[in-house]
Amino acid sequence: MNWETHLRGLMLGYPPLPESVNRDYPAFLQTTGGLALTLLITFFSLIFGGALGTLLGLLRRDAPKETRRTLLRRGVEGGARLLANGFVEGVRGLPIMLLVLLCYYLPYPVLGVRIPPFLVGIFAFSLYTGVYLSEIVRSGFRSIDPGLRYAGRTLGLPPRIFFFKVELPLALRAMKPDLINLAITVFKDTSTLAMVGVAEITYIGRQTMAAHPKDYALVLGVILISYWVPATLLSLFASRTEKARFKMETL
Amino acid sequence: MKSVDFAKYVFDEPYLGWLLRGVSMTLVMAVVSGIGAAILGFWVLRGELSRWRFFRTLGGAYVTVFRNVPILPLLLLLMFGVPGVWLRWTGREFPRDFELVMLLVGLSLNTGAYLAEILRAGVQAVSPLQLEAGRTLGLSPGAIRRKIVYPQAIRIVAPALTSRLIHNTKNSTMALIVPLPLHQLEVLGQASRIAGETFTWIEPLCFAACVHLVLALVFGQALNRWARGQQARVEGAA
Amino acid sequence: MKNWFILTLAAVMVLGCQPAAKEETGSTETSTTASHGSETKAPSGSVLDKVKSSGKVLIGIGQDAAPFGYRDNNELVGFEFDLTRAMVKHLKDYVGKDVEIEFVPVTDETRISWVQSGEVDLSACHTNNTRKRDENIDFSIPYFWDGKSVMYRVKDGPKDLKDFAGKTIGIKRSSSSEGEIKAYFEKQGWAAPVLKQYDNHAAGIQALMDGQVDGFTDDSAIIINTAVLAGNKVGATGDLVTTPTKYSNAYFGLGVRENDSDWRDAVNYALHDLWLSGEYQQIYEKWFGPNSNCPVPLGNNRMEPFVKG
Repeated sequence: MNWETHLRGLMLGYPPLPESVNRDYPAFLQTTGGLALTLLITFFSLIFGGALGTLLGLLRRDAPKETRRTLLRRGVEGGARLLANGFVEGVRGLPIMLLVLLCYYLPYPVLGVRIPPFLVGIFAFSLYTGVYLSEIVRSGFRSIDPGLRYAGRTLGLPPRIFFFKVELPLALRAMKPDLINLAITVFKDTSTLAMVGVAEITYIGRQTMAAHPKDYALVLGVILISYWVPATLLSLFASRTEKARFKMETL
Repeated sequence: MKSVDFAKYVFDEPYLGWLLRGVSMTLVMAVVSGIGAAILGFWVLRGELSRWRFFRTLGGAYVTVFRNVPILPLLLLLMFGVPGVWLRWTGREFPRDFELVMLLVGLSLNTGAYLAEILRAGVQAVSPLQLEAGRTLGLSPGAIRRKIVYPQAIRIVAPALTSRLIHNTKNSTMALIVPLPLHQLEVLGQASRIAGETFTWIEPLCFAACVHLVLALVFGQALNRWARGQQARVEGAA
Repeated sequence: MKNWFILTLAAVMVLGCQPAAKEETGSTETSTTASHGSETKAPSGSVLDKVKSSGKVLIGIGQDAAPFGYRDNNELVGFEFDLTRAMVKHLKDYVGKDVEIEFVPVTDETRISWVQSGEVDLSACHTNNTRKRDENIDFSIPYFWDGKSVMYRVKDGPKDLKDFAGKTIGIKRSSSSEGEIKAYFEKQGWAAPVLKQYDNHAAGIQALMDGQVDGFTDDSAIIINTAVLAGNKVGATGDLVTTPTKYSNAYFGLGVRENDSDWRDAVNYALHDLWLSGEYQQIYEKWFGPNSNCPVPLGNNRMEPFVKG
């Protein structure tokens, strides 16, 4: 058996059929596969999910109590918080497998749009990232000492400058290890996309196994290692930042 | 295009029976693998805190391996890799009908690694002064662990434990790739069986989604109440 | 917290009911127009018109069932790939211009529902023509003739279907095997087999080799080819063999949308032309001829029209 081609397939994917490449969508997403596609989907999901999660997290932030606001503004904010909370609770209650399947089977019957599987993957994992990220963002902002806000006001800092110069950097530092852990989770969970035919590493691995069933354990070993190595490197990084955070707090 | 018809594809026989059976299997999987994971996580924690280097390395290796490996390929390895390797190494066939057990083992292995990690954080958060106090009182190391360290550790990390156990419940949907006999399929497996029969996905999938939402809420409520109780005791003691 | 419970449930309800409302109106529209006269077209129009205007046909193709569509040495190949490529060339005569193919990967779970929803124009995914499926989509004339048998290990001794009464049999998920094998065993008065669902054929065959099931069943050509490609010898002197009796016939057809006569005719005519031009026989020879992994004699099966002209 030609292990070199199989390894290349697992890492970079197989050459696709010319007829199956859709010109409406970026070719590099469709023509890559294997671990490369896993990483690409993780990357895009983290970016889109990051935007979504920040938005949701900011919407879900606890309302500052003492500031004077008009009734309208409080109502709008409360409504947005309710909606965002409902959305987050709803998506968080779903297993990722179900979320992926729903994103795969629902768009056409409901909206009438045909979405290629790799976009389904990016969409589903953006939702997943966004929802979990919003939780991280919220607790990141919660971890900031409310006394800081009074200090900022006393110093006469405008709210916007206070947010960008004081609150955000502090919250980001508090969130860092959780963010890395979320990235690891997303990276690992993209394996569920094999169920909907995204040519990521698990899917290609299964096709390789179909041709070489005697090497099931070996191919699966290769797959598990190629998930394990990046995830472990990232988690080492996370534990280091966690230690740094711990040190910072004890000082 | 067909219309969406819950009455026909979900609330009609035999589909409702299949789905309810699936719900009960989901519950069984969630509870059994959750308990398995808790036991496993506890013993791994003991290994990690052991005096013996061997057990420490073993525990640490277990956590790093199973925390950083996705569950789907892990289940594939347990389902298809293990019987083949077993046959080649022992020359005998792997025992039949072990799919459900293997699935539960896979879920427990995954969740156990997380639980061990969470519990370790809890143990580390217990103040060293308390250990000192226990020692001064003349308690044995075992008694210190049982009476002082573990109860407090569990209380401190109770919310993280509950969220991981709920995650474990959701992980049972990974059984979709496991070749279970038809009566042992969990709710998503039964939903896909209905889809295979009727060529419609929306209704059974929505049903499975509802089941998991309700489960997450009910389990979440129960476990959160427990966690809050535990936390209150921490704060009461402090 | 109780609010979230109600809120999420409501969200799911809304999510679930929206398409119901939208599509129910859609389906009544099509049914009324259909009942008014056979000549008037449904508002969405025939798939043929869509193909005419776009010059492109979306073919849903299976990718994990040898020899119909599978990966061989990193390349997607198969009988259905060759067949649809050749057929689409003949489709030109009925569409009026050259037609481009766009292959859309489908699985056994989606091959019917995506034709129904219009996500693909044509599905070529080793779909045997059953009544139940025919209620949901239409089929072209058969392009492959096969049946379902059970594969078992030679070392377990010779067997026929009745030896599998009460035994464990692996089936492919979303295949028609579950209903058919249960019905057959019931008719014969044998104990119903315990069925285990496998996600793909290769996994099922591997489980059979490892002794996890007593037999594995699906369309004979698929299980034999999968077994051969996995490095097993199939036959009475090999590792695996299929039962001599088949419990059901499987005539494969291309899936097209229900009640779309124009499009189905165009597809059928293209298949006729494929047969008449002799290309079909060449393709068949390549995949099921005497030198193939799984020779299936063409027998008396014919795809040419009764009368042409």
